Amino acid sequence: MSKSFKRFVALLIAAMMLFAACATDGAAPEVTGTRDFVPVPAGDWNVPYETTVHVTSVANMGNDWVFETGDSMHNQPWTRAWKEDLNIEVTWDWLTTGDAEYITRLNMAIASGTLPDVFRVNYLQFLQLMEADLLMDITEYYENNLSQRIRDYELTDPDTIKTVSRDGRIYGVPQYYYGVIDAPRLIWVRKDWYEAAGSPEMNTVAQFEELAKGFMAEYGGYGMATCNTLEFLFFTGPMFGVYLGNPQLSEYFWYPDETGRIKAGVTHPEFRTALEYWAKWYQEGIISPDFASIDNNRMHEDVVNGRTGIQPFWQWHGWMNGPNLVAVHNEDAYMIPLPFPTVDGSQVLGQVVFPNVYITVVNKDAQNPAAAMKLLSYTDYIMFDPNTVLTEEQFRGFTDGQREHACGPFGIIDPMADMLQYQNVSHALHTGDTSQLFTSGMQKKHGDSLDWIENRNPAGLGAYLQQGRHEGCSYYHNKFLVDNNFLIRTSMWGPPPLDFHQTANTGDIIAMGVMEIILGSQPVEFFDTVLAEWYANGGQILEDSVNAEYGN
Amino acid sequence: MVKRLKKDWPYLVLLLPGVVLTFIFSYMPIYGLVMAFQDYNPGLGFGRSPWIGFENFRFIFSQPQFVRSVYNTFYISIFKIIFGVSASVIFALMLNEIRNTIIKRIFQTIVYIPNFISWVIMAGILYGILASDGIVNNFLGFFGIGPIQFLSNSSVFPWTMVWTDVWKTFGFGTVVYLAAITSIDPGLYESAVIDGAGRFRQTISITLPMMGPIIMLMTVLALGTVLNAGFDQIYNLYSPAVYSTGDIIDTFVYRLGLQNGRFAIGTAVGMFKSVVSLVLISLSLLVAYKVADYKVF
Repeated sequence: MSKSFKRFVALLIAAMMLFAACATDGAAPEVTGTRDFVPVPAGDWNVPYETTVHVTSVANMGNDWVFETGDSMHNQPWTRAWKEDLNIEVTWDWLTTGDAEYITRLNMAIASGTLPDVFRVNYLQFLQLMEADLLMDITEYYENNLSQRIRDYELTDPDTIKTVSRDGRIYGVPQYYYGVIDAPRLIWVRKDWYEAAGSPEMNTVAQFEELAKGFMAEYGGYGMATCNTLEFLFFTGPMFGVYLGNPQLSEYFWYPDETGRIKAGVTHPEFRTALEYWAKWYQEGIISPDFASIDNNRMHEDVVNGRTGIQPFWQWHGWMNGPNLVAVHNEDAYMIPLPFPTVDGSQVLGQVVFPNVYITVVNKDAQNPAAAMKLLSYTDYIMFDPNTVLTEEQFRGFTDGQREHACGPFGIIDPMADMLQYQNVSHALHTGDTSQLFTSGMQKKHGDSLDWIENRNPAGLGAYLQQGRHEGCSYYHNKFLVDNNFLIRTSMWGPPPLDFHQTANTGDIIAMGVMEIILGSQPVEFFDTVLAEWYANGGQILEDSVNAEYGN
Repeated sequence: MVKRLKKDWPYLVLLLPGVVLTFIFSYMPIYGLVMAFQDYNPGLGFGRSPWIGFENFRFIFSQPQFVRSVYNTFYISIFKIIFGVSASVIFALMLNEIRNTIIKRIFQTIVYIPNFISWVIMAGILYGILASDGIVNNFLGFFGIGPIQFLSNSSVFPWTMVWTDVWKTFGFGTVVYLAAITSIDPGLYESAVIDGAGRFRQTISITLPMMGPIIMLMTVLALGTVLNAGFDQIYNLYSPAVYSTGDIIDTFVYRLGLQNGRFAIGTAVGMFKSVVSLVLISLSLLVAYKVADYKVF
């Protein structure tokens, strides 16, 4: 081989490696708009700009989002509609697929001074950005360029806007949430097994245990699905009159004790009752003997594979395991929701945490903050405004394949959305009168529910079990709790106090202690030692700061 | 020098991307270590975040979870080294006794294969094998033992980590030691045979002593990375039930720094680990030089 040929090959390989290292995904579209200031057109929020405005942003995508062939996050129904209807061009500086990745990338963008014009933050990032004076005071744009409908969300929920305001000035638009109706968790039971058992009443913990043992005797496996993070086992707290957060994330549910002091659920005396039952369940096989090494994915695998027929979960279980259960077993093998039983058969309370998690904020250096308000208003208009009229094609373009979330930080949710949606979808399904299905979300849930009822299409099972199953869907049970105020709201009705950041992994202490008690290596009394350690290593700081900020 | 440059410049160009990437991804981030001494606020960046001296380190060392994770790291790592080296040496000696080359290579390949399987996949396999109704517990059940909670019993978990790591990695060590064995002068064995030595005596008196320097070298070099107790393995297999004995520095940093967003604290722990590792690596290289005449530079 000649020397010159060797040199050529070496250079070629080096160039290829450099090219590979510097290459991007090539998906960034051609930009035609301007990021310079463009006068806001007179009139309502929906009047388009005369000159195309270019807004940069970032987004965290879901793994289950599906775009039509040829589309991508950069060019899809939302981005096209923004351009066509508002003359606003949105480009994504970067995209992630996971909360942790998003937080890390955003922190890097903050640190490196490469923040986009508009982006979504959590409360900790909001506070850090406020401290660094990097957020724009958007009060003027909030009042003048945001739709009246969104501003009226303050009437439904006057507390959330306060969390993004300082001295009467507004620094972000809360994303809001689907409503209190989606907060309480339920206990889901395999329908075919439950009916084969005679659909017994399950008002007490004893009845629950009897049902679980019956399933085990009939079908093998174990009684109730749970996993090593303890998150789902803690969902059963209301059965024992105790309300809990996710120990893996060091999250707690805060409510006052008899003295009025706000305390974490794990410190309330009822938690000992829960521990006694959980340890008993482990001994009796109601909890899997391997639960301490079963992660979240394997827990769901066990449910789908029929190793257990009971699972505490949120109201959206029909989307989670429903289609797989139907595919693997039979069309009656999905799970149906039931209210949690209690030890003495009394009414269970649904626990409600402070629901707002995200805030859409505007970079202090952005030139067209009004565009962000217009884009937020547009999402609300498409998804929740009763006066919006969309063609079937438009509607499916915005919502199929989970694309209702593909508007990124320009997403916003009507805090009454799910309550209204449930009422109207339920009414339409039971009367056939579809005249009240005035939002795209309502039409989608109604259509999906019908698709399951009439065609047994598993894709419709989620909507059916959330809203469409007459007197047996999750929102039926949750609406009962809401209407009768059988709810307990966290006393920490707002973001966590900043002092929370002075502690580290306090949830680990709880999780380790609880595991030892459930697995039988320690008695329930051992939890006194666990709590002492928890208080000494951060728990006291948490409790004091919650009481300082949210106590009486 | 200039002449050599002129001759070798294509190869240096070939090296350039690697050097550039190493500089970008391995050297430039070192600047981020300043976070360990700051109350870091991403909004303020490295330049404006307030300096707090060693406060992050004080906080870390006051956390019982951290102290525990340091202990666990050393415990798991050291036993991995001891049993890993022993298993590799013993298996290499056994393989060396197999005269049929095909069978020898088949065994060598079989023990080497797990080395190529990622811990994510291996964890899935181990969950099944080590479950209370898995193959291992079923086997132990024949002898009236168990079931043993290999992955959720805090006393058993560190040993599960040690043995599964040994199982996965000893094939690689075996290859190294087998190579060392083949380089032993055959004359020594011939002399031993004339003196009436059997296979076992040859192994004890010739093979093992001749392998001494390479065993020592591999062990000493492994000691330099003793703080890397196996993040991939433990992260995929541990749970709160075994934090008390299975949580290592890396998993602790992951939960604290990334999951909880405590970047400055996570950096401080990472820096602590780097400094200790630097000392250990320097010591191990020194010992390797003294004992096995092994030099890196």
